[in-house]
Amino acid sequence: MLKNYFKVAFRTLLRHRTYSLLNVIGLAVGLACGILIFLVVGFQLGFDTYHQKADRIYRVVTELTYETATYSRGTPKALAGVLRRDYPFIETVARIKRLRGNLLSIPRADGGFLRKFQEERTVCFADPDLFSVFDFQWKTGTPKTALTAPNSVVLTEKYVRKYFGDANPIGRTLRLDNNLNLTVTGVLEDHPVATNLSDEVYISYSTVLGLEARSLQNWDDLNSEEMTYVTLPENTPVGQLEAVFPGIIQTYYTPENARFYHFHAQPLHDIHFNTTYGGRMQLKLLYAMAIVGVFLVLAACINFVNLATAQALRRSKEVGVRKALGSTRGQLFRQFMTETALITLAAVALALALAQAGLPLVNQTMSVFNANFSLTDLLQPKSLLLFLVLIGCVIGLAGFYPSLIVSGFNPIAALRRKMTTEQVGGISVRRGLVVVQFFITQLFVISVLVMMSQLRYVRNVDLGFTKETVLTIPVPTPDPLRQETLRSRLREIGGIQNVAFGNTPPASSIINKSPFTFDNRAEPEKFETQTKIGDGNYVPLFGLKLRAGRNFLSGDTVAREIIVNEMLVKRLGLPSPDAILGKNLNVLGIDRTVVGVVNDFHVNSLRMAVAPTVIFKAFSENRMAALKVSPAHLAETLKQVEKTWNGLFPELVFHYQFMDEIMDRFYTAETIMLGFAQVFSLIAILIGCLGLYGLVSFMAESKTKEIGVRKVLGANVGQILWLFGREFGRLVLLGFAVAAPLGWWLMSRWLQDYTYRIEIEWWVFGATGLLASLITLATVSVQSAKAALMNPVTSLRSE
Amino acid sequence: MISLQNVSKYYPAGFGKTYVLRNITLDINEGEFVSIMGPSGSGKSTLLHILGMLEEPSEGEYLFFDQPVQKLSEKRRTELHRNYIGFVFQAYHLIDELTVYENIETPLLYKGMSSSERKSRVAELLDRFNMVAKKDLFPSQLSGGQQQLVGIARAVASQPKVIFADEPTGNLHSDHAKEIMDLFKKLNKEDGVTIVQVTHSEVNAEYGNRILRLKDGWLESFQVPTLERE
Ligand SMILES: Nc1ncnc2c1ncn2[C@@H]1O[C@H](COP(=O)(O)OP(=O)(O)OP(=O)(O)O)[C@@H](O)[C@H]1O
Ligand SMILES: [Mg+2]
Repeated sequence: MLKNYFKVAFRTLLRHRTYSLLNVIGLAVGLACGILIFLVVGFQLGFDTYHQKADRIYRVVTELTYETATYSRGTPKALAGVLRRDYPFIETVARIKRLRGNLLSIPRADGGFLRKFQEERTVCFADPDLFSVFDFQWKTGTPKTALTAPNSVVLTEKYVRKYFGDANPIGRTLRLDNNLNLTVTGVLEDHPVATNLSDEVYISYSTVLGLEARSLQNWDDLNSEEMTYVTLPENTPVGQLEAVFPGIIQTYYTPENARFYHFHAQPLHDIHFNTTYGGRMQLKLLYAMAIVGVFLVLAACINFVNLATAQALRRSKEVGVRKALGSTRGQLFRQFMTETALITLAAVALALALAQAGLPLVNQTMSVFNANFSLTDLLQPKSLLLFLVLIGCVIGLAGFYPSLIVSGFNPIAALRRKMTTEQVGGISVRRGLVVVQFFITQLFVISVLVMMSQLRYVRNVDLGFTKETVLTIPVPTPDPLRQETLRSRLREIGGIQNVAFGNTPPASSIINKSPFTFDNRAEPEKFETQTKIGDGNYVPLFGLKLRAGRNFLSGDTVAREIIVNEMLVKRLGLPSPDAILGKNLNVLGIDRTVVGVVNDFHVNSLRMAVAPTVIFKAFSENRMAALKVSPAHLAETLKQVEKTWNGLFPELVFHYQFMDEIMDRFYTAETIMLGFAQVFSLIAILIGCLGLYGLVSFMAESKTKEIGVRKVLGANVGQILWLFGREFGRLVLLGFAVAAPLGWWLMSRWLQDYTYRIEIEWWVFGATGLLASLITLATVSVQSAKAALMNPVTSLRSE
Repeated sequence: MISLQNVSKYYPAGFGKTYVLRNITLDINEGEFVSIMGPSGSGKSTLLHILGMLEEPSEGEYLFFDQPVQKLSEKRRTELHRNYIGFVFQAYHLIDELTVYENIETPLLYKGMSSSERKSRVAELLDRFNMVAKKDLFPSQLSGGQQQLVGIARAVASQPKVIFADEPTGNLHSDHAKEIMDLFKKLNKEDGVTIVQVTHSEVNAEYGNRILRLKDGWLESFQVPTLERE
């Protein structure tokens, strides 16, 4: 019996090849997207959940409530000691100080070095206790012995390979920033990928004690890379920890500062998602992705149900005959369910293959997270269960409805082919499903259009400074003489038009803020100012426009001049930029004279509003040189810059960044999201087209006779096309009516994140409607033209 | 064996209803060979469908082997289809995706016959209907007449107690038609199979022992066919 079913199933599929293929492909594509999104979302949600004590690990973070609140994931170094000594109920307290942009070299016996490595964010100082807070696996050594003594260092296996190859690393020496020798005392197994403990090199915290003894007791020294983690004993409410902070603040801060400082206990599971404290992934975004995934799978399932129902209805005759021959309702039901299950499984197999093919792309897009997804990730019990449930649901949804309808046919009605879809309510259900698809597709299109416009706006908006053909290279010395040597050597290179020194470019991920006093007032101002270090070339090189006053005088060697932006003038309540010229402004404890006012410029992404900013000279703070290069012979110029730089700093590693790249990095998340949205909306459109195609061909088929007769009676092709066009026009419109307001609302919410944003204009909706109509027209005309052009005799004879 | 009491069938039409069958009272005994005749649209197929339990009467009572059909469960009715009833459709109604062989085999599958029994039974039927060479063809590859033969073979396959045949020879050449009629006659005589057929041909009608005439849904008369009438 089963063989009989399979035979029929298989032959039906084969006979309606296009259908079956569309059906399987549509479902497979939808499922493949679902799988990929599931992997990505699952990966992100799984960040740092693997630690045994995950639910009782907290990071202490700082909130500074000046006029506006400032948040830092860091805490003063001194905090850990106090927590450890005075609050024994806290199980473990561990500090970590992550370094940024350091040089690690392997010294040779003769004082030179074997190899050197520029490390961005992989080196840190860590308390031995860090290893009892988080789960680490030790290959060699133990936390107690390995990280107690100063100047000892522990590496992950990955970095052992990077630095020493296959040689035994224990006892070898690493040199930090060319001045501190460290001895390797332990090896850690590599981290799982899903962790924010990205460090690969752990230097004993006691080393810091030697380096920065002074800042150790300085409670005002706050650095976002110096963090304090604690674990609480089981069943200890976090409130108990929160309760000790006010006391600590009262004890260790001056009454004046105590008003500003607040510590909070941030649960481990919040760290990855809380962007206020530097979380790397917005939960909102993940939810958006999950919804997209659900939508895609839903769209694919809808399609599948649609096509399967159409297919089943077409087989009403078979159903009638089988009933007359003695098939029970149950047997018919099972027959159709088996078929659906078969097709679904085929689609699942294809989906897995497609997902596998798409993985490299996803891995690449998620490379900032070091993601390395594989389909075997699905084999974890939870994922597997979810996946199986999903497959079950698809089979259920796609199989149950048609099977139920079909098996319930009255045999004679079925045989008379009176199963016109209206009678079983099939067509209205399927129309509804197509409307849902139109809705999903158009919602995607609207989102993509809005995101694209916003990103284009963000990329092209007037930032207040020039970023074209400007690149930055490191200035690794505070020595003014060496800086001057670098400058004069760079000026000799032909392709370089200008050179400016400073700490950061106008827009940077690093933002320095400081309180300041204006015009010798007794109290500092209520708001802080952002500070930029720049020399006399900084303003012209970055194309900042002077609104009043002048640029720095080149003779100002004591660096007492300062330039402010218009926002600062405005916030101070001064009537015009000229009013501030010549006034005294004390920032970082030094009196300076305002000599110029420049236009406002963006110091970070457009999510951040323009804030008061000052620019002043400070040689010892110069970190980068900005080079204005001529676009011609760029590669040649770069080569020369590298050569010059390496000549001056042979012990360091050269690297450069174009301003464009720096700016783009602010929008990595958006770019990734847009990429995903584009791909997914294309897929949604594709799936929608498949569904349409299915419905149209089904309609065309059930209208074969009508079309034949109409043609015999003299209807032309255009009139017959209109027959279909009218029908689908309505469905598109209905989908649009829901998608447009919802899309508008959703995208408006999304745009709220940007201080500088586009307005959603009507053309977005116009374009969406037009696109949907065009796609529909194309799909519908192919099918209905086939029906319309068909020889009327063939269609009539088939009845 | 078959007994209809005041059976009517109507379809809703506008505010009223159109009667297709009116007040039919009818008895058919086991072993009979009954022919139903009547003009097109008079309700012959409808009557046959009701007899074959493919459609429900709108009014009246139907007893099959003394069991009231209206009260039978769906399961029991399916069982009757499997073991007691063979149906030949006016429009053949073969399953398009199955070959000749598989079409004939299908009722045997539902009956739960063993594979070897099925094989020999289908082979025997193919042989009897001269379709051996065509056994692997699909319905679309057959002529109307050939399809009708397969339909009949399929109805006969499960060795039912009663065969309902709706114009079984409608598309057949008269020689062929005669063969079929002879087959029905033989089944009727030798195996005691009850046969109810619808036909437009007086000649074929007279293979039966009784002719029922339908007109506008009314059963007109009982007639015992006589040779003189010809
Ligand atoms: N589902 C239905 N709804 C309304 N009327 C129907 C329906 N099915 C059949 N009829 C009507 O019932 C009448 C009898 O149909 P039936 O098929 O029984 O006639 P018939 O005697 O077999 O005709 P023919 O000799 O052409 O096969 C017809 O007038 C037909 O229009
Ligand atoms: Mg008829």
